[in-house]
Amino acid sequence: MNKFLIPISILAVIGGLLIGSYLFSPKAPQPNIYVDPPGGDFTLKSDKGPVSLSDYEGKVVLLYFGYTYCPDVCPTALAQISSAFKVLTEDELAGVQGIFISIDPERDTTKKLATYAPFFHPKIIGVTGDKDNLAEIAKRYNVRYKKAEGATAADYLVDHTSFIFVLDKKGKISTFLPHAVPVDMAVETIRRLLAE
Amino acid sequence: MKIKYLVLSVLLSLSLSACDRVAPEPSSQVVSIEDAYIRAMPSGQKVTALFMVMHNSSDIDRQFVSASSVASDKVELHEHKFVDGMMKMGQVKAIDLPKKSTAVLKPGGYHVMLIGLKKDLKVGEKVPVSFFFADGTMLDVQVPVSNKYLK
Repeated sequence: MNKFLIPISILAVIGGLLIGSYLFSPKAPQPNIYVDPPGGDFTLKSDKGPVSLSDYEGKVVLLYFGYTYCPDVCPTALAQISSAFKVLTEDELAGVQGIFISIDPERDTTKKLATYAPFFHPKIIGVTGDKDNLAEIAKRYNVRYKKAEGATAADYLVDHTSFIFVLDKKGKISTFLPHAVPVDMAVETIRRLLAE
Repeated sequence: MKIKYLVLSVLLSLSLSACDRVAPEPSSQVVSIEDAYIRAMPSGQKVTALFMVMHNSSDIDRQFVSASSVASDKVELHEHKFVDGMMKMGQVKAIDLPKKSTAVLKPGGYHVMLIGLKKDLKVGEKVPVSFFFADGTMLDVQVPVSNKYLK
């Protein structure tokens, strides 16, 4: 028997163990990286003509995607935005804007949105656009929506993600608020961004 | 003679045994509805939601199965589910009212959806709504239109 056989086999085993322990050891867990959606400027239609997010540069913008055939969640979100606006002083109010984007252009015309949005607060403007434009904007804001047909006399309902986006004065997404956000939390967020 | 007594006593015992098989009280009498309101909406809106607190004071489970109102073409019961990150609304066949319990229909949860509003509802207006239970009984309530949620 080769006299090197035993030392070599021992080395091989040790080597194997070392390599194996490196390969099979549990890797340090990767931090759960949530990537903020890019957001960004957009141009949609309103009753008074085209509206771009950049029109409100310098203002704190509260943005919500929904549809008017939504009886609960959307009115709740708009009511919270409205209640927050009502707490602000006149000067503060001059520095904010609310935008309601309807992801249901089939039923929500710009004319309809012109009565819908201001009902909640005059500083909320209702806009919409064609399907492709809306889809592209929604993608940048991580907003998902899906038509849910059938099983209701309300024609169809639309499932949708439901966050109020708060954009800073530069039009960049600063934070998300849940649609049923407590009013003082919304006001605090707005004031913080107004002070920037 | 004996047969007559026999028949009488059989009839008597039958009627006595029927005594503890009393029909349960109708749901409409043991379910109470409180704080009902219909959300005021912008002019031209075709749908809105009705919220309320339903209390079943009886010892039997009940079910709220449907509603109707002259104010809208149709009325449905809906609930919200958070599915796949999206708020999803769906019609339900009934809302359970377990014995001696309270069901709260509030924003984000269950609601009664009025579909196809026949005209704009004014704040403060009282809208007649009929609520139906699984046992076929019905409760009529004058529900006020409220914009409290905007305050």
